[in-house]
Amino acid sequence: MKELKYIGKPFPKHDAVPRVSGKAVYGHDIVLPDMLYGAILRTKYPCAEFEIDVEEARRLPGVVCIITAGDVDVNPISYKRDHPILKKGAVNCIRDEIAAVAAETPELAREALKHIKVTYKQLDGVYEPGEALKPDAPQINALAANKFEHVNIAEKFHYAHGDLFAAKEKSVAVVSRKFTLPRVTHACMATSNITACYNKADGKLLLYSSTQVPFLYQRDMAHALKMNPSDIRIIQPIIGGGFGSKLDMYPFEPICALLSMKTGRPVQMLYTREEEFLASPTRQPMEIELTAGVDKDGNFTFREVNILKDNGAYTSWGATTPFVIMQAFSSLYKVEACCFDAVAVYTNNVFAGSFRGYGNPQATFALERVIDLLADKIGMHKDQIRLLNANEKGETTGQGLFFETCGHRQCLETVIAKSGFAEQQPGEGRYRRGIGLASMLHVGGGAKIYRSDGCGTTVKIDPYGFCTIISGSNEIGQGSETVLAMIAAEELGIPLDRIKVINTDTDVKPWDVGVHASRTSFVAGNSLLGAIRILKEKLNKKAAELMAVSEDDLEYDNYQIFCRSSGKSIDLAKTVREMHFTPPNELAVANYFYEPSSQFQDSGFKGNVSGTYAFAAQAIEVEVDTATGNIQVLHVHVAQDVGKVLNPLLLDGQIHGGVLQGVGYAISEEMIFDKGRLLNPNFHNYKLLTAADVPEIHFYAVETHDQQGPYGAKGVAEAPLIPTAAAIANAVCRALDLEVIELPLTPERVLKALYKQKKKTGNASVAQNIEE
Amino acid sequence: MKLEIISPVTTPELLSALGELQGQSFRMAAGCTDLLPELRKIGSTFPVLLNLASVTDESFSGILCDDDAIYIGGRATAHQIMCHVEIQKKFPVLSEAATQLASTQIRQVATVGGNLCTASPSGDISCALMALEAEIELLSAAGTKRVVPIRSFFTGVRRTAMQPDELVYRVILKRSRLQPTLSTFVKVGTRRSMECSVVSLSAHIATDANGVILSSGIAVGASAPTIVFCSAASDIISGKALEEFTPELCAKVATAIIEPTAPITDLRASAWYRKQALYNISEAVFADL
Repeated sequence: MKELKYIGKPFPKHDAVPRVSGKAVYGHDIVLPDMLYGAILRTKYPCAEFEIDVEEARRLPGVVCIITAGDVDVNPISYKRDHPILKKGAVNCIRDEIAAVAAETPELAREALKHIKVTYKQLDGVYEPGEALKPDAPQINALAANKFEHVNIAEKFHYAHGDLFAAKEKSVAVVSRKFTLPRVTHACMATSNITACYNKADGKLLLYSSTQVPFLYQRDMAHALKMNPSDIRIIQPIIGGGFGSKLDMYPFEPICALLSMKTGRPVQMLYTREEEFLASPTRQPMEIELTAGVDKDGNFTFREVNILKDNGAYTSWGATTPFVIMQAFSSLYKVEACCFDAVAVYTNNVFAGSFRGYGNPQATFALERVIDLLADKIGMHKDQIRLLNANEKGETTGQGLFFETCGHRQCLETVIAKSGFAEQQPGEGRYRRGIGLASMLHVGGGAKIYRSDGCGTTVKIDPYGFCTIISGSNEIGQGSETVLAMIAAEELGIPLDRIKVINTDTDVKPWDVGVHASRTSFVAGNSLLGAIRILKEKLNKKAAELMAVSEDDLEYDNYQIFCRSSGKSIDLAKTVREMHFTPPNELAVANYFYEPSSQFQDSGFKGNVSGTYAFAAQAIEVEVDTATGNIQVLHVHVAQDVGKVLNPLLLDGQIHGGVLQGVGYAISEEMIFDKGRLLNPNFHNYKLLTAADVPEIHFYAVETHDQQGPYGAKGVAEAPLIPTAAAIANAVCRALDLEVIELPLTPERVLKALYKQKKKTGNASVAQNIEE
Repeated sequence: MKLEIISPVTTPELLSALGELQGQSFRMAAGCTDLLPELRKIGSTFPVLLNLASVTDESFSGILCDDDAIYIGGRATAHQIMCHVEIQKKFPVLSEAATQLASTQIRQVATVGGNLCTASPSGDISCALMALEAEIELLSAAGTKRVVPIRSFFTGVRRTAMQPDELVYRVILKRSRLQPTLSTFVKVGTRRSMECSVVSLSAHIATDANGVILSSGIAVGASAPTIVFCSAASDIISGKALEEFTPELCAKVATAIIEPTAPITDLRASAWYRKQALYNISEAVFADL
């Protein structure tokens, strides 16, 4: 095989310099001539009826436009189309938008909100999914499709494989637990933003939007505004954090477009940090009831899962996370039988969206906790039970996932050895250390959920030998532009500084389903390779003709096309010029649309949904202060099956960022609500971790060279946070010999658990208990 | 509301500006690390800000020492305190408190005067100064100075014994010939930076050559409307020799430390947690003696 010059090498992100030098243009930096500034009035109460009067606000100098539900002709938005853009007469959650203002300055826009008169009639509201399912519970969402046995069920999933009864019969130990997972948020450094520019002359709408899925967004926006999708052009400015938060379209986006359409002037809307906490999506909070068994030899026999998800007032993509959650339960480690039920229930809480990991951190937490308990119950080592049941190459799981390659065992073995897991003993005294183990399975080659999981690419070479990649995929900070440029450099022998990536404009770029499911390097990379293959056929033909050699014998390197056997070479740029300027006058351009080999799942959710699968294991060492309950995460050993390392520097970035997000999920982050109201919409009380909290992260890449991936690579982006909370919880339980069933493991929760355990066991090593 | 900012450079200019502002609604600030979040949250409730950050008077902006005392200017930053070698040596509790305050960035601008005048029960520097029984030197617009012992300085949540025409000019730490045996600040919180104390403990204890405790100051933060000086606990340990610190005595001291506290339950922790964690860290600190 040819030695790779670019792939596998640590090239810095090509946009690193503009980003760190302040030259990068984020949505907040856009200024258009004659631009207005928008602001949204949200409800004061999470559940209420209201009347609104905007006349006084309308008369304020500098206020150009105010809209309420009565002023616009639009369709509801969201995954289930159950979300009105502006609410009319009644509100269902504390985010609800009831009016919007466009004014000459941001200050005037916000001032105008104070002059809008709203009279509320407060209603009790329902804030617990269990309450919402009671027979006499009121219908929370008036637009609910009402497809299920209760009006407040927004979505349901049922999945099963294997003979559950027989698998239970064979079990010598069974563990059953109910776990509670919190609501956390993405906390993107750039707050949500949009600049809308409607041209009344031609009826076209230009949006500078920080979406992750521009083509789905274009379609959703068109549906909302009753427009033709092609009349809407989406340009993505540089995005300051995605992590899944920009998968759904939210009301502020069509609202901003409506303000521009009404005024005929550009309108910009930027969230404040408080608004970002309040009105941007969250991870799904849920209760997971898991019962699992093991046979006498330690083989996993069955898993029975019941999940109750708080859907909030409207249904976002977040309601579909059971697609991913069920994969963990059906297919992470070999298991004979699985029965899975999940229900998402409307409440008057805020709605969740998609978040890196897409339900998998929750599922993995429950599953890996129960595996530790099963191991204890049958007296087997926690590492041995995992190795015994690990997934294997060539395996087709009960759900129909096919593992063409599989690094699960290697990942587990690596972190077990590197962390000293087997040798670690629980200590005595105030500070106790423990190592916990967890692994994960996630899609690594896209996920066939939408009609296509594909990506289009156009690649061209200009007469000066520079290459332009026009990719359907986009950059949200993950480094995909750099990886695409490296692939083109590798294949075409053109250095990175002569490669441009165009990927921000829906009027220009070919279709792609968007950035999610850890798919971009895999899908867009394969798409680019396809386009380059076609382009090279054209170039080869011309180069062979010019050098009078065979087309089958050519290589690209150092701006040249070489003929291996004859030793002849020709300048790549010259070849392009000859293509362009001599008959038959052809462009050095090629298009390709790549569709992964994955399948749609059947109605029972069975089928090979991804082009490939990623595996990872983490062993995490913590030290718990038994005086305060504080957890210090000391070492995080991460082994991840990445297929093939494309760029070790960017890969490290994904691992470090993901792990820290996982540590926050485990020990500190939590949105605190009281009856639908958010109590901590700020970094002061929402404990996002800081640079000072970063543990030692030891990363070991496991390369399994998947034939499906570009150069053998798999998707890597979501995996690093998925097993982190599970491994930390297992470490804490091992260090203190106690059980936890809830995240995050705040100092108070840990200390409470210690005292509860002390009451039970008379543990003398913690100090005297203060009466509650 | 539009905010007028007055930025005097010399102390006479400062005092004259302070004098002129009497009877008006105004605020003083230097690092603005407490003020900016307040302005964002509720907007400015006052039209004039007297900015102390440009004043060049070294007594006010620096840390000076003589044989009797260390004089910390009201405008000295947490960063200046944590880097000060004499403070590190003689008053580690203060150095540790400054080091654990907020974050590296905030420590560059947050001042001693601000920490005292905000009078938050969770003020870290204030808690350490309480254990050290510091003296607060106030300077009035008329140019007169008066010294208030820190134990009489805090009168309630966000309330102090200062008059409207006074500012914190210096904090005075009297030197002792005794080297501290134990001088430590323990902060309880979730994060390792950008954390506001959930509960905190300051202790500064000095012994004679025979290991008998001659002076002791113990203070706790975030456990009552103001930072609390734990005199009962100090009384228990005064005159005790280090070898007398049995687990029973440590438990007695810890009980005495939590006795005057009345913590609240809020978003960051329950009253139970604050009390329990304070008890536990108190016991642990004295067990280490």
